[in-house]
Amino acid sequence: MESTLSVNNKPNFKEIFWRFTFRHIQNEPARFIFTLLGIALGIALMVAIRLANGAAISSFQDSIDLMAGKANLSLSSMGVPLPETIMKDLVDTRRLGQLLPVVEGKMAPEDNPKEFITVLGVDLLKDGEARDFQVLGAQDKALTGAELLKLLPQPDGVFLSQKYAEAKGLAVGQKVHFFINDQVQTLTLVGLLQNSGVGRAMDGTLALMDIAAAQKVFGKIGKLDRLDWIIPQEADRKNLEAQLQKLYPSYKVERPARRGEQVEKMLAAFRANLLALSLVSVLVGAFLVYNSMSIAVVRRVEEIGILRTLGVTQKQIIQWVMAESFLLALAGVLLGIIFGKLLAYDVLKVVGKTIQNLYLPIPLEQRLPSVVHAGGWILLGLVLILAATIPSALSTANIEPGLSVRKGYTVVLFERRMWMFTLAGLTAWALAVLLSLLPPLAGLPWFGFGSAFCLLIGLVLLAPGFLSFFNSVFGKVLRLILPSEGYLAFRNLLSDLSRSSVALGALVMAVALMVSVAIMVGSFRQTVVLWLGQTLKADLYIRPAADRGGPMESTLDPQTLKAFNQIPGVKYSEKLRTLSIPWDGTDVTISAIDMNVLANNGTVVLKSGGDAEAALKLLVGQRNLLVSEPLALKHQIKTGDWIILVSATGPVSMRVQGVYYDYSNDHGTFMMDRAVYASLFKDDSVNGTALYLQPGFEPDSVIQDILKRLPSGTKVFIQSNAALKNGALKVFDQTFAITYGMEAIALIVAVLGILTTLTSLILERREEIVILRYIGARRNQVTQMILWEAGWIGLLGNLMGFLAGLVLALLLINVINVQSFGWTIQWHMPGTFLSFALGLVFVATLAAGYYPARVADSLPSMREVTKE
Amino acid sequence: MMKTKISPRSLGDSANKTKNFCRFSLLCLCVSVVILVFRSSPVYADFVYTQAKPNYHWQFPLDHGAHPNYKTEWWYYVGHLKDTQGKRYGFELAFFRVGLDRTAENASAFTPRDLYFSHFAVSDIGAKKFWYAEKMNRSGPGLAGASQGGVNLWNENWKIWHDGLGHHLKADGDIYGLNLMVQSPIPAVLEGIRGYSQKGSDKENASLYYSFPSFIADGQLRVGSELKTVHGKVWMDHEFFSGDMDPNEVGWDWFGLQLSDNTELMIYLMRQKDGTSHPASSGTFINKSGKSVHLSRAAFQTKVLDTWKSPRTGAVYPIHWKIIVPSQRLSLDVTASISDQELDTAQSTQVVYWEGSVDISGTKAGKDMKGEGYMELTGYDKAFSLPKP
Repeated sequence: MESTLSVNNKPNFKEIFWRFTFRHIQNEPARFIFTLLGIALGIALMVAIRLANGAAISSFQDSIDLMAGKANLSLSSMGVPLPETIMKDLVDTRRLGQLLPVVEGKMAPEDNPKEFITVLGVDLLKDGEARDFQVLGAQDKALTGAELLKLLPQPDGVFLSQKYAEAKGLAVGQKVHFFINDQVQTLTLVGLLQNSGVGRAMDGTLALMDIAAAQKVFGKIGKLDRLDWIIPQEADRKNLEAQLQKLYPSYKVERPARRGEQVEKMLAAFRANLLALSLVSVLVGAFLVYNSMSIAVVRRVEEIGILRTLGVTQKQIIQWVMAESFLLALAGVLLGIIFGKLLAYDVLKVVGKTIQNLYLPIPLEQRLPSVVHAGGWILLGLVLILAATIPSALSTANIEPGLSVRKGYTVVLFERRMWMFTLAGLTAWALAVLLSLLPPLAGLPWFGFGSAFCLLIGLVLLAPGFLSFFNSVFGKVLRLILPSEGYLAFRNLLSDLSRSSVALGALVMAVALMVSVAIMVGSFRQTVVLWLGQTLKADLYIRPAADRGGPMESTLDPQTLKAFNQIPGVKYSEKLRTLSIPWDGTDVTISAIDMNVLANNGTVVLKSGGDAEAALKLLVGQRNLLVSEPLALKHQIKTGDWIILVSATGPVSMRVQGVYYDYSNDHGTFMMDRAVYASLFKDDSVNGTALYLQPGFEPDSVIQDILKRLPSGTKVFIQSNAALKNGALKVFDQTFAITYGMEAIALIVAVLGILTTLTSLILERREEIVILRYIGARRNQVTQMILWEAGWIGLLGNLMGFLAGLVLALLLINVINVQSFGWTIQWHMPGTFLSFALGLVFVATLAAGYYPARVADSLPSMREVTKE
Repeated sequence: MMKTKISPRSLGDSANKTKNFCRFSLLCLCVSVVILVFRSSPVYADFVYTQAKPNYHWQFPLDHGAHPNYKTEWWYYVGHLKDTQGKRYGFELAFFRVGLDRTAENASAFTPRDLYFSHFAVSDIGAKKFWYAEKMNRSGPGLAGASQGGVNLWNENWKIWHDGLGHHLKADGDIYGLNLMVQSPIPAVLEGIRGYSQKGSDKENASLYYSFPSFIADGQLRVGSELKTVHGKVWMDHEFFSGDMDPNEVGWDWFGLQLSDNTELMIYLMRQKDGTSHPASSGTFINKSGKSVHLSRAAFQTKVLDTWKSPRTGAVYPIHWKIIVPSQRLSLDVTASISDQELDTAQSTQVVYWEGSVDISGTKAGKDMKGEGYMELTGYDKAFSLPKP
């Protein structure tokens, strides 16, 4: 420290720093608080998203790991159960380790069919070697071996988790009714799973049954869903894996741990997008900080000038400002972490719901990882925010002793540099265009995110240029048509571009984000609405009751299906079999439909492959299939290609008849004739059916008829065409609910920016305002002028943000969405929503002007000035 | 004799953890069925297990097969084998069936109506090494079972079956493998009184029990990767019953002794809480032609000459005995071929017992004689003698 001030006074740096900083905090608590809040909100959102994502992933993986236990090799068929005799054929592999049979099932509680429980049917006598569970009897007492053995033969015995039983008020020994496939079944709660291990998986919705009971209850007598091995020696495990692959080419041989990896892969795009979106609010926060600190410097130009004349070095001034920024940023980030943790629980609920809807129907444990999990991102946020303060700190270097006292110095400085900002902005935009042309990296649109980032940065850099451009075009007209307060306000913004353009930039960024996401979501929704309308042609859709809240895994009994055909008014029944199979390293869905019915009554919308009806007819009874758009995009499948599927009868090649639009999942679907599927995969189970009614029959009365005529104990879930569509849109809206929340936060941060800027501007211009009052401006005229300023920022921010939002929406729809999910989204402007939202932003900016206006109002009156 | 063959050593490295609860439970149950007093008799609406009663009408070969109306049943093969170089091995291959609830209405093959345990042990007498493995299964899709009507037992790839020539024994573990055919020069010997073997004060503390005391065995024993041709003598027991052990009894000592003059002696002592043997303890002497003589408790005397204390469990086993059968003018010195043939399952089943090969020397009518045999000692663990705090 070479300050001349500190020659005789060592702790000088600190002392002056505290005075330098705290006096300003005292003078401008609003700016300080709003900046802090802005940083905190941005960071909070990011932390919350990151933690919720982390919680969701680890909860899913935990559940998968707990379900797999110590098993390190498994054999299952492609969605169709294995014959149980395979266990006898393979039982000799027990010389290498343990071999355990597994049956899986889903069921829904009768009193709340929207919930569902996953049941693992295992050999309860041996399964403790693989999975971690502890069975309890009445009064939560651990069951003795003899007690367990007595319970074991019970053909309807189920072990539910303690957590679930407590929540439902169930006691051991009680009979509980469940929907299983399309039947109501009464199970006996023979014991509880202690709240650890398997008892904790899936947030307590995983149940155990003995394998014998599970086979009976789920209609899988003679069948197994999986064989699990625990092979201690890795060499043995590998050998066995290779042998099994050779022996059973049509079965899936895998390490159960891979399922967890697949989940992570499946969710990667979704998580990346969510995180990228949350990063924008940090970015907006960073601009707020930039704004705030540049104001702080401008407000202290005189003070710094005096300090410099007193011998304080440039370096010291920069250090002070940097230290101040750092403390501010740190405080904001810490506050943000606290908020973020609070927010994370709500985010987790929303995110979890979305993931369950779209990807994995597994209930989540509401347990957050530690903040360390978000550490990298918090650090990134901190760096971004600190980076935003550097320009202001460095700008102090330009304040020469004495010279700084001259008013308007910084304004001149800024205008001198405006062309640089504009150039940088244009460069950023050029970069944005360039990045948008690059392909995805590791399946994720990193360059797309980069492009969006550049677009937003460029936008802010171009803000001052835009303002002066706007002035040069409309300035003269404005002068003529506006009241004096309004024009003065406009000029005020222009005369202090260094600050106003930053406030504007932050708002523009937030508005652009909002507009683009609104357009993207609106377009997507409209696309889905159109798609649903085009493709859902049947009158009634029926699923087994157990499937209401879960995945399409339960099946309809052949007797139930038969009953539908006998209902008066039913013209055709279009049965559907849907299941997930491994293909080309990922899991894809097979959608096997009665094609003769679909081809004549329904339709699909083809992206390529010619006429939809003709294409569907070519699927009937033939080894042809349609590929959904996301799958075609991710695996570069074209019409006319041959797809090799490993069926129960060995590998078969099927011709791609076309690519069709499908928004039901992003991992991809092969659509084929159910008859072809059934013969190839030796599986004629049905997961749902669509009924086409004869003209003149009302769907509602047919539903009543069906419910009356179904065999007793049979329960199905019937939806009319309209109800199914509404349900689909409800899921859609639920999915995107979080994006609106995130936009709102970005906007709040931006509005805080306006509040800060205007307040500071007023305080900065106090002399000017006092003079205005002195020369005859009325109190309310000053107030109005401030409100006009806010209005100008709101208006210009909306205008620029809207225009930029259009560009960003293009990027989201055509680059980021396509690279992440692979959907074609038709452009659709959600006009009502946007005008309402932009109006709200405008009102919010006006409201943000209210506080500074009050500040201006409280400035000394004419009389006081006269006294002076 | 009632024997408990539970040796989860092969699986036991992760014992004592909750994961093993089920195996532990099962073994506990098996123990409780077989050894302990299983007082609370299960309530089955439509099915009651048949109790072992005197004057059972034996029908062979039908009775070599399973008796599913009895709750507990075992087929038990123990013996000594010699390879071409003269090395001696003791072995034991036992199949257990424990009946559970028969009334469950479930067509699933996994319905646990019976549980099947199998135990395979080898004593390398020259090397003083003892090894064992076990299997436990429900019948499932052909995983384990016991046919009715003849000897046909299987538990995974361990099998015993009769093909018209003899019994075939096949078992395989990580170190040892066994592939034998055994033939008996004499017909089955009914133990106790016409095959009704009472074990306690109550008539239902009894089993139906017969033996083949002098099977001639030929076949192969795999030791590591080496396949040895072996020849030897095997003792087979088959017992089935549904009753419990006398509440006053704490364990037992069983001997199956094959003497060099081609006669055999079976003795069991049911030990009571006070250390004395129950009056129902008895034995059987079988002469060269296979004729048997029932020996009541008063017809033989036993004396413990030496004990061995397990360094693992602290249990003290009588491994050296004097057995005198005055009516047959037999005076035998019975001593363990290997001191340590203890099965320590304290970590999982909390049951510790001793089961293994014994060497016999002594006199018959004053003339020197030798022999080989198997001995089983149960209830010497602290858990049995001292109630847990």
